[in-house]
Amino acid sequence: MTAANKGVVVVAMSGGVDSAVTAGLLVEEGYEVIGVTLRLWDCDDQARPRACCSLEDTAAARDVADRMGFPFYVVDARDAFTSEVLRPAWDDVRRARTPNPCILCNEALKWGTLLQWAGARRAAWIATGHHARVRRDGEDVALLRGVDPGKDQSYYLFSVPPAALRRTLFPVGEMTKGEVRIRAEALGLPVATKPDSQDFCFSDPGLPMGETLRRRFDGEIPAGAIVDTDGKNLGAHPGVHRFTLGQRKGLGVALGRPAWVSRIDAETAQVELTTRRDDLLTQRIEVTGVRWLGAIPDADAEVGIQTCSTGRARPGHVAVGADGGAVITYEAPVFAPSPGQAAVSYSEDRVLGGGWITA
Amino acid sequence: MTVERIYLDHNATSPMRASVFEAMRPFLTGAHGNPSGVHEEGRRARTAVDRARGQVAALIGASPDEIVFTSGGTEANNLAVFGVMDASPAGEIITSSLEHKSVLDAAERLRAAGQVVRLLLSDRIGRVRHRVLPELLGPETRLVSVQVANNEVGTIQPIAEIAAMARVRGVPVHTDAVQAAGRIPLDVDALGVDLLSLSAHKIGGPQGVGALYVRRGASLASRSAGGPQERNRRSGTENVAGIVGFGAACEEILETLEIEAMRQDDLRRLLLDGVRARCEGVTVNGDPNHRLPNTLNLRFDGVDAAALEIDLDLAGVAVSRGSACVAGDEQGSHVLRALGMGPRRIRSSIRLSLGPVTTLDEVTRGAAIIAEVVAAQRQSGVGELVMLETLE
Repeated sequence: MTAANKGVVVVAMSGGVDSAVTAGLLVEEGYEVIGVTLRLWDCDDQARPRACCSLEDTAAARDVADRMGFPFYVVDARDAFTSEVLRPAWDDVRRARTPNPCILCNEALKWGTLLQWAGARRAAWIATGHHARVRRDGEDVALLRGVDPGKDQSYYLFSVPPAALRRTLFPVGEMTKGEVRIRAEALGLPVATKPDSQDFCFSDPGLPMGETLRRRFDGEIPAGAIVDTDGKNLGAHPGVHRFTLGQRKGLGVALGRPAWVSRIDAETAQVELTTRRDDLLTQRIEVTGVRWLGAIPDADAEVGIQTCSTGRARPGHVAVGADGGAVITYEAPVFAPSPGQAAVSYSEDRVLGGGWITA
Repeated sequence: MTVERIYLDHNATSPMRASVFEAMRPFLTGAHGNPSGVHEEGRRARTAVDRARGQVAALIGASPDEIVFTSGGTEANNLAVFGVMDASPAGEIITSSLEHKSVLDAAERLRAAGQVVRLLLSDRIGRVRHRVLPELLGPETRLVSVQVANNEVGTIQPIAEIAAMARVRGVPVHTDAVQAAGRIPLDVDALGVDLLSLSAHKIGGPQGVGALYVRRGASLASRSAGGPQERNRRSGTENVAGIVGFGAACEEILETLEIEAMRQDDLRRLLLDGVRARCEGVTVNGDPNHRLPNTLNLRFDGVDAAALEIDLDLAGVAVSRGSACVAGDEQGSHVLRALGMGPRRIRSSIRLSLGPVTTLDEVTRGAAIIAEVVAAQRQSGVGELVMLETLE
């Protein structure tokens, strides 16, 4: 083993381009890299063609490690994934909320389980292929958007504790996706032509996430009625877990006009549709479990609010309440985000904090 | 400065001997031939295979015509179990809970197909409880299969006694000698067995080749349809280069077996002493007396073996937690479970195994590194995940 001057970094590898280039860049910079793929799901099922920890992905990651000459391990995190990600997501889905498992996974698995594992290996650093940036300034640490606005993944990282961010490197956050691919080719990495992964890592293709979770936990969700805004029955549905607020497609009823899910009631198993898009607009959302990465913004400071990774940040204000809750008021009405989603506030490129939408 | 790695996983596989590679070289670089050919190229290959057959037979005191070449130990075990059971009317097989997965899974498939499988259990140090065997042997018993020595803890089994019990009832006996070959002397007549499995890569031969000894007169159904090779017992063009290598390995071993066994036994003792001198809470799993000279299965209190395996790898030492064929098994080693160890003890156990190339320096440095890594784990509390078990 040769001594590296930069220290040991554990790189979370998914088998994709971003994490492969991350590892390659860090090797070039003189870090002692240890590559890890987290095993999250039972991969014995040969019928699952696309899963985050699939055997093909693990083999791809191992191949990169072999080419670049660093050790590679598979860390079994199935139990933690089930208890910290899948189960909470299922609980949300049952209550007609739309969870964001990726955010849970980042906090509990990558910056939880994996960070601990890295510490046990005496690694000072952890790195991932996320398009985001960390800036360290004395005691403070800032989380910024990735340089490529179309690929920014900082939204998914808002709940990573600052102390953990302090030990994190995001090399590809400083690059555009095009630059990443060029780098991959230059490093001789075979993943250069692999398309981006889009789905939740555990979703069965063709199934809504809620249904994948229902099958995973062998859960029962009652069928119910689809109604319009006057309460008139429009048809039946197989379970509220298949719907999300604002959903337009896959409703199971044909009204002849565009319709959106305007309300989901888990208690009555009723899904309400509206044909008036304006019914879905709101200017106010409530969030709980708020984390701040730095100073809490004043209520009169304008911030940018995002309720999904790819959406534009909408201007608004945050009023912090008691018990880690907050009320977000938008400057202009927005399409109502689904309860269970995360609302992340930004100041320009900098993530200020975020919380979970309750209403 | 690059430090040489220390390889302590010879039970998983062992480096190819130089003499083996030299013996194989001509067959890899031009001296091609299918042994079935009438021509000179065919005869050359046939002669090489026959010669190797004799070398393998000599290792176990058999006749060359009793050797069936296979693709390895797993295929040899499968051929023995299915080959005998398929050649007999439906009945029972008696095997042990310590067997390699290739025997246990073969037996499991038989059970799923409606045949009866009886398992001899193990005592706490890995000895098969064979005294009940006479009671289990009946008119329905078609085969007894018990390994010569265990690959994880190294315990050597009383095969001669077991075979004698079975012979009295006219039941054929198979023994998996994959881990024992090259470490203890083997003689099929002294053992009294009808079938015996061998694997080349465990003894410094190439991967992908093994053999099943089949006593003259024993009935065996072939598993693969095809050509008449191996006296109709195992079809397929012979792996000439591999077989030649296998033969060369057997010949080299036979010359040096006893001396080498003593050397490895000494090194194993030094390894254990070296670890114990620096570490408390170290227990040897398996039989302290009747064991393979090269195998050391250790339990470290308060340590997680999975993390230990990784940290040792990062520190340049290669070890394992049991059979490579069961890596990833959630419940941990079935062998350690058969010894009655609970999950926490299994989770704290690693296997160290030496080979012909293991040196005194490696063992000395290895002991020090193992102790260091164990201490680091215990200090960081990571091993607290694996709590000390109360006395069973």
